[in-house]
Amino acid sequence: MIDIGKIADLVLLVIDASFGFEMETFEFLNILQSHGFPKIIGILSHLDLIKKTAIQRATKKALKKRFWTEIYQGAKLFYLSGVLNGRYPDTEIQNLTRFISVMKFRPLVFRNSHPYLLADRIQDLTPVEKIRQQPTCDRRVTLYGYLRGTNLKESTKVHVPGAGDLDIRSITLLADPCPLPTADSEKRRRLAEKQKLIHAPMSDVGGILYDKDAVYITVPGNFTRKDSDQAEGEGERMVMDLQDATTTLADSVAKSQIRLLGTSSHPLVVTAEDGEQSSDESDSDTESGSESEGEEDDDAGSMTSVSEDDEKPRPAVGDGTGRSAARIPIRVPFSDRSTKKSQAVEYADSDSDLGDDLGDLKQDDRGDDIASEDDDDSDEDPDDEMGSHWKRHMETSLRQVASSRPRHRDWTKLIYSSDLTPQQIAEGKDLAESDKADDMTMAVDNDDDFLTFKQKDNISQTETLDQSNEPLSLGNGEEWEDDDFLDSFRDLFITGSKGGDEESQGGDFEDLEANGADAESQDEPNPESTEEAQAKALAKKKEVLKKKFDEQYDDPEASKLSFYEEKKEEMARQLRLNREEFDGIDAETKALVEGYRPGSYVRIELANVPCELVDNFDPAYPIIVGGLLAAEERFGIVQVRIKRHRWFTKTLKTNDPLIFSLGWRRFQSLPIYSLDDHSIRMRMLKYTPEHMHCYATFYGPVSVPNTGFCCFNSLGDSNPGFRIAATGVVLDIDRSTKIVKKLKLTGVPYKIFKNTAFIKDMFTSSLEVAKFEGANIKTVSGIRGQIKKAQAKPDGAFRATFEDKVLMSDIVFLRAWYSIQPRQFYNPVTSLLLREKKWEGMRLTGQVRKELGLSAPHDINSTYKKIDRPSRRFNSLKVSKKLQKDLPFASKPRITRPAQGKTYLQKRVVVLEPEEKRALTLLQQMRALDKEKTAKRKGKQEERRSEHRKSVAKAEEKKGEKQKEQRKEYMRAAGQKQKREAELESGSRKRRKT
Amino acid sequence: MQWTGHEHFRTRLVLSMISGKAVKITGIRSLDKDPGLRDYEVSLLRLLEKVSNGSVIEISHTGTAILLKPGILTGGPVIHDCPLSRSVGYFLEPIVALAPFSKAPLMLTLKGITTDEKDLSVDIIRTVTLPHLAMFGIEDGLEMKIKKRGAAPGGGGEVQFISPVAKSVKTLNFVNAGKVKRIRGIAHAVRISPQFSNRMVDSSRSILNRYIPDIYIHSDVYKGDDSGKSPGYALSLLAETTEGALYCSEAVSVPRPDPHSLKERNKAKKDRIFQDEERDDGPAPITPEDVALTASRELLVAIQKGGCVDRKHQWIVLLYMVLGSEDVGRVRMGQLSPRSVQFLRDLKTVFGTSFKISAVDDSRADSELLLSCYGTGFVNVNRTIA
Repeated sequence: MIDIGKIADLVLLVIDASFGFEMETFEFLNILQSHGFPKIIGILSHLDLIKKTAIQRATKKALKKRFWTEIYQGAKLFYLSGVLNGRYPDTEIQNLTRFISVMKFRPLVFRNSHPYLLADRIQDLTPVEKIRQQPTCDRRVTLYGYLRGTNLKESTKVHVPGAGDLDIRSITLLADPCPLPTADSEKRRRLAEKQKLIHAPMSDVGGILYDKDAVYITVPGNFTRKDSDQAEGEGERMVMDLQDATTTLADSVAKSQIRLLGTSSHPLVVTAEDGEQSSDESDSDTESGSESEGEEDDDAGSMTSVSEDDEKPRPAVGDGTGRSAARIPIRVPFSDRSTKKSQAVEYADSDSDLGDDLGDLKQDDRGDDIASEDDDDSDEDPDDEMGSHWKRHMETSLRQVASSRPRHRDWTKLIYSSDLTPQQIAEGKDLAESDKADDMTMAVDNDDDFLTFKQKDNISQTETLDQSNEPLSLGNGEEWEDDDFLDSFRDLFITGSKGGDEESQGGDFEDLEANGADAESQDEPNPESTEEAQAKALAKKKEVLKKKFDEQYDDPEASKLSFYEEKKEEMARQLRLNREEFDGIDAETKALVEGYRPGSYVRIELANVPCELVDNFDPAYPIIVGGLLAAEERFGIVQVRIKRHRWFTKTLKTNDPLIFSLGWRRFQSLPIYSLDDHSIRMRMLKYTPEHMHCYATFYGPVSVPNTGFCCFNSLGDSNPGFRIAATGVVLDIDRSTKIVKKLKLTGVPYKIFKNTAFIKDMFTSSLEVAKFEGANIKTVSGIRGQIKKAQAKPDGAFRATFEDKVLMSDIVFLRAWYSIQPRQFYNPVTSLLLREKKWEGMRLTGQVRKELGLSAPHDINSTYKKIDRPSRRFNSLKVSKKLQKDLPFASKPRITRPAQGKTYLQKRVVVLEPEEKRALTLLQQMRALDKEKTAKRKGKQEERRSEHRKSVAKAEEKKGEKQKEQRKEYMRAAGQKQKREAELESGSRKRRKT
Repeated sequence: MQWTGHEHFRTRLVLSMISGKAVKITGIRSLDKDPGLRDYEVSLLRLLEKVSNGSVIEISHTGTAILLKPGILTGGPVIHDCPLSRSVGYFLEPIVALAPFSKAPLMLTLKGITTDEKDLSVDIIRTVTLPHLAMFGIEDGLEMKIKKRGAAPGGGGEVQFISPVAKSVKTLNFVNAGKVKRIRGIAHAVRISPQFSNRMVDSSRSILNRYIPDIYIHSDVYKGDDSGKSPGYALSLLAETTEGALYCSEAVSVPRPDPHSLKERNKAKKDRIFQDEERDDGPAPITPEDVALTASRELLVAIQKGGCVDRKHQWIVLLYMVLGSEDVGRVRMGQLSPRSVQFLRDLKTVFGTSFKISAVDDSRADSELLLSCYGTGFVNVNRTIA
């Protein structure tokens, strides 16, 4: 599910409407979201299982609504009305396919920067014998499929999700099994039965399997010859045809009647005139070709279709028998040259295989050969280029190697496929051009031994420095005195085109020696032709300028392009250039230079594939080959922005294994979660925060920043909940991180002076203290201080100063940050290598504890206990009498004893007069009366109120009932209206259908 | 990746750092009297370690083999003291190529000799190398300041190089070089009469005025502390074409060797064969006129060699072309220097990209070349987002 989400261009999301959305659907949508969102078409099936139309309609509506919120408002949702005769209605499927065919695909960044391939066929190429001897040996496997994304080069490393990183051994471009429609095929309106192609990879049609260069025929049971007219599988027929062959291959080749075209009148004849080598070549070619042809044609003898190589028919064409004239234009690589020339080139090429000793020579010589051919064709034409002549020619060219004739040099070959040193290549032209220069005393003069020259050069180069400025290349000073020589530069300046009117300026150089004239000056064309050409060029230039002016004058806005158009044009230009630049060259070089283009059908051969991939291959699980960028092969510490998925019920814990699906890969790693703490530090989090993004840092394969990913706790389907644990995006790649967690070191004072205290038990050695000198410390009561210096005596004790006097009972602590690095754990999910495809990685901490029956570690110091804080009792300060006596009065302790007797206010007795007494009683009585009265009044009031409340409640009830009735009425009307509308709608649809 | 020999040391390290592939270079002067890495090479490795995080550099006991496991280019402020055996240009050249691919903008301060005859001078790097990067879309924030000049052998110069962070590299399509429209230059003389630079300017003008009137050669004066520890003068010239191609040349005065090193050299000379004798024979002073003459003639030769890219900067252009987006990039170059030839081979081993190279004019042996390649679509992975 995860891998497919990474490569799908269009997702047909089939939803069982009778069931509704399943958890997997949402999971898949979330996977798509994090890996780039492709196009999605929803399809509701099983609608026929819902019998009632009203319910069906409601379901449709509800599902559509949910679907739209997931994808976007207005996302396409198809309804398949039901299965008729075991298949969906044709019209519905046709509609769907039409939609698919006009679908526009959006470019996705990840896919547009990585090549990938969905293998439609896998083949194990390991020798059977090797597997027999060692069943678990690494396999050589080929995968077939259409290339997508960007160009794939042979040098790229690939990742097969579920199997691991693998190396490409080779890539072969194959013919497209389902070719694009051509102009010819487009003319046909219908696809005839004959034109229908079946591409059925992994299925052996008639017991035959085709590989690039082999055909495998499977014959069930043991093979015996039966009657030939009995119809067997294609493969069996092939075997029998092979047995039918009466002649050996050599015989058939000897008397073969190769016809170039089906209509050719003369068969080709193999003659002995050809060089030995080329006839050998053709022989081997036919041998290798015979197998593949045998499968196509019934009679192995005649071999009519020659589709092997360009090389094979060449010697035959050279003979001039048959209809060679008609064939020439068809042979594309050689069409521009005559066949003779091409042969000469081939000789040179084949010679290059002879040995490396002639390495230097062969390049020059080959170049010479071609050039000479170009120059004087008539010279070479009479004799028919046989080996001996060529060798003679080689010798002469060896002698002339230092001649100043301009030569064509194939730089690409020189640089990439010769073992010349760079100096030799760069000097190569110097050899020809300035061999008059005295410093170039090449040993070529004594022409016989080229090897000495090379060795000499090797010795001289050992002293070269790695420097940017090359040694001066000015040559001798004489030529710089020459006016002609100096004038040769003039054309390179903008002032140069005007010619000689400025010559009077450079008058200082009067020495006119003409021997230094260079090739440069020879290049100057004759004055007459230049004038003409100049006039023409001028006219052309004027025309362009005029056009430009007209454009700008007529409509100044029209010539200006918008940013968008400009960019579009630029892209189109670049695309055109991409296509055109490598159009001419042969496919092999093209592949070397630009790789294999997306859209081509290729066969990728992978080396060292684990045997389990082949042994446990299950076609239900797709094999994807994802190309890796250069950076992605590396490992590093990846920082990502992550958010726990809101549907995932559990919280994620730091250093708990998490399965990432990032780029092509799926792997398990141990992330550390962190948050940015005021832009000062990255602070570790033990758990992911709720509803918030945080950072996660883990060790794993590098991915380009901005790549999306999703995470899982487990991939198994045992837990019913939502499995995607988190999603996020890659932010940063590094080799180390600066995540810190809080560390508090505590200590206790063992000696206290005024503001200075000696603290122990914080560190264990004076070295540790030295590292923390000057650090801020604090007591629990909030007195701040600083670490000063380590003490010698108790290990790890130190002197510290505080802003106030600390107490012996104070705990001193130091707040510090401890940096942590993620653990280097990377565990690729190798699900494809398992028989059951049920991969289980490292278990979560909680799982392990559960399975082992352990509880979480419990530190006794971390438990919360009831805090018992006894009140402190201070002893009274005692100053001896004698001392007291000597103290000045101000300093004498003023001790106040608890009062002995009662104070006046406490002591006195109040006696009332009889008058006063009476007044008081009267007042009291009046108050009592008043109290009684108010109580009575209150009671009455309450009674009245309760009565009133009752009546009000009654009225409310009545009112409510009325309202209910009204609402009911309204809803009934609305429902009817809706119903009518729906009916109208369905009626119109029905009408449309009919 | 494995290479042998001490040559192309810098470019190979650059390739390794950019591609992230470990490189092993063996046989570094293993047959030499004085085998192993030179001090400047070690210093370069140190510098690479400074600008990156997690790089592992292992040097064998004899110093003839190194293993570089590249880390991640981090950038940021870096200060480096270059040894006096090579100029700052030796260190700057690879760093200029690397810096746009680091995590944060690089602010590199290099101290040492600013101009010598072996490497690109700081003037050339500022006026020619940086514009070559601009062709690939790396220009905003790319700057270099020459704070102090320091001539050989004393040095004492200081330059500050600031590089932006690039996301990716643009595809280059530059096949029309155009014609030279102007010539610019910088003449400087430190710890010596400022008249020297004027003499160079005049002399150079006398040659180049023949071709084009638009010549402006700046006479750069550094005084006191900013002028380094040794006397010296140099002229660097650059020609710009109508299409923006640059050609450069440079000539430097012969440094006055300090007596100590002269003695040593002469001793060494006895048991070693040197290619160019004159450099060892101690002071053979060169007049400012001669310096100007050499520089101007070199410039003419450089212009004549043609192409859209300066010969000394071929490798950096080739590198950035390979790093370009997955499109065809094309460039026209003059004849390839040996360095570029080897670099093309190295590029192939590292990135698997080979160039299509064809001569513009088949009839001539020294024809300009048309190089085209398919970019690898390199993106700066180190760059942090948000």
